[in-house]
Amino acid sequence: MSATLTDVLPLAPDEQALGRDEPGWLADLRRAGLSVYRARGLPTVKVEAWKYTSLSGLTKIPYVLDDGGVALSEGGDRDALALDDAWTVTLVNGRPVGVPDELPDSVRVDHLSRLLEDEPETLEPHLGRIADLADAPMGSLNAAHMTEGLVILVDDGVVLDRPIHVVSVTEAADGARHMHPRHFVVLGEAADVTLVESRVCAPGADATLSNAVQEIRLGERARLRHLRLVASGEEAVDLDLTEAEVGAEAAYEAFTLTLGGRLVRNETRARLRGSGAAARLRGAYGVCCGQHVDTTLVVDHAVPDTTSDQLYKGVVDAQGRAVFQGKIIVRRDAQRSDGGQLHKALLLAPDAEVDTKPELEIYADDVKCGHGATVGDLDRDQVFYLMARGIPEAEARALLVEAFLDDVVGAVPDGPLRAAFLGAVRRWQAGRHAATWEA
Amino acid sequence: MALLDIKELHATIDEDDGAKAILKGIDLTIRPGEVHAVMGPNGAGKSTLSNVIAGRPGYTVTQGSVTYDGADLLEMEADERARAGLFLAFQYPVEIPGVATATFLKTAINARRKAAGEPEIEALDFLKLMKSTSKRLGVPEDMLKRPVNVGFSGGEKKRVEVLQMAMLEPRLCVLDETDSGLDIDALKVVADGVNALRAPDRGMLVITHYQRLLDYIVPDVVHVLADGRIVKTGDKTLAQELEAKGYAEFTGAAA
Repeated sequence: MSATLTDVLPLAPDEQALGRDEPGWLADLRRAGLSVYRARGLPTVKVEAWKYTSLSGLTKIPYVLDDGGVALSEGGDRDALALDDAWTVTLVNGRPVGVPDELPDSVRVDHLSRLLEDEPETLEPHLGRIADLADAPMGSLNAAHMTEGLVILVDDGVVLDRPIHVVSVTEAADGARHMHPRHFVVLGEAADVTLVESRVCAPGADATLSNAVQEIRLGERARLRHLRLVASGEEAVDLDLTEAEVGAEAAYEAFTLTLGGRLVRNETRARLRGSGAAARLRGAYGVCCGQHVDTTLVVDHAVPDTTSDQLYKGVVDAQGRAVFQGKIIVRRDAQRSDGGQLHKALLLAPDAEVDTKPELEIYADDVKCGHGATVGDLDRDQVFYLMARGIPEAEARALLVEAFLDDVVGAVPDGPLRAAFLGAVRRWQAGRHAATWEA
Repeated sequence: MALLDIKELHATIDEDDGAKAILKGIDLTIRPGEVHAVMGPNGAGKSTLSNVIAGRPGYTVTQGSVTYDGADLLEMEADERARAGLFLAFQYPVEIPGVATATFLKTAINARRKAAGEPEIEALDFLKLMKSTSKRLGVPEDMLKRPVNVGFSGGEKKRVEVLQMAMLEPRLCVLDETDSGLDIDALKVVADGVNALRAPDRGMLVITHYQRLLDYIVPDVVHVLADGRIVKTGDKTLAQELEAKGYAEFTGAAA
């Protein structure tokens, strides 16, 4: 029967083998995941949370489950952010390769597979307990499949003076692979960490489907700066669901820069669970040439006295499509919540498209919440002013695009980190112009 | 050879309800070293003339020619014109949030150098040039760290226009109503800056409604523009005459 189901429902695992030789709680997690995925199937635009992004096209690609065994190729990580001063760990097709040396004892960076095998009890309080995947078909599929990923556990009070840099590389394998990495970041009380992620693609490794889930838990007064570059391959489908549970007085500060991938969905959910918790979700994207980039944000003000803000800016060029869905939930008791949302998009070509869907669900009465959205083209007068000073049009437009993104990229700490992200924006712009000139 | 040679220039402005004729046959020749003033009442076509020379989109030349240094200016894009040595000081300098003034200046200088096959300006040389020029024009240095024209007063904007002009060393300067919105002190500073740029190989076209600016930037030739045509040409005394009598004589004639 399971074989038939697999035929009907692509990407699903074999039910018979599910959870075999695993602790009961883990097997339950997998079965629950499979049953949600079975009930909902691949999301299509009929599902509100996927209103503008359909995955039904994935059935046309004969993906096979990645079983590892692929090594990092020479230069496969060339598009990663250039960060010299960082603890770097590389993942190939969602599987960690080694762990950084010289980490302090108070920080543990390990492979999910190792913990699942040797000490599942360490994972039990976190795995599947942070992210609520009951309404997330792809996240649920991840739960059914997950075997690998990165685990980062940081003790109370640890303040890291260098970032941890996760370089996640997609490498070519036989045929198109699908993979379901599951990552964890758990910060103890008052821990303070900068986590940088580069999601990149080795040359020639395009047709992959990555369906990742990241679970993040921040203890009281902890602070996580989560900075991400998404530069997936031209044919890559890159789905990521990140759920952060933010404790009292803790802060989750995310910045996501998406510049590559055929179909990308970055879904970030922040649940503010303690008084004084804060979430700042910022990001920028550059989309063109048949790409589809979906940013879906959900901030859940679950208790009183929490703050959040969402600021995203994007640039869409010829034949690109961007989606921005931003939701703010304020629970009944969550008085004095302060939530804001702003999304601004630049459309650089007539066939560029952006779909914006802000949603406020407010059940408390003493709250401060607002949202705004703008869509526009570059200012003609600004372009002319720069050209009147001798700056060629393409360069003038690139300068104005960078200026448009300036305040949101400013969310990245000044210094080498911001320079690395700005460098990625500039490379994207240079590549985009090269493409335009060729055409 | 003339630096700028305008012959029988007719131009229209593109509007939603069709093209509207603004320039109706302009003849004007500027030789190197000369400063010409174009004066005229509102609506005469002064800004259109400067915009057509600079290559601003939204205008169509329907007849005539503009030759700059022997080349057909109308065949060049706005940025090519600028790199060839043309500079328009804007009546309303444009604000560009997110682009620091210093970055903008450096990009402009390097665009010109690149086109000339020269290497980019050394960071230190650029800083020196910017410092000395801003000091001379009374532009506080911290202003150059701020985004282009954002939050600048009217006087500051005009000063920064002249600063750009000084740093880019153009061969032909077109000043479009540079005096508008300036108080007398700012006017003097701006005029001093412009006068410092007067040179035997450089021409200037100063466009203004009022004679006041011409007390400080004394022109060699004054033209009166009315209803899209140059209706009178004379020396600097013509400006004083206009100040006394106004434009009534010309607007009447044009009607």
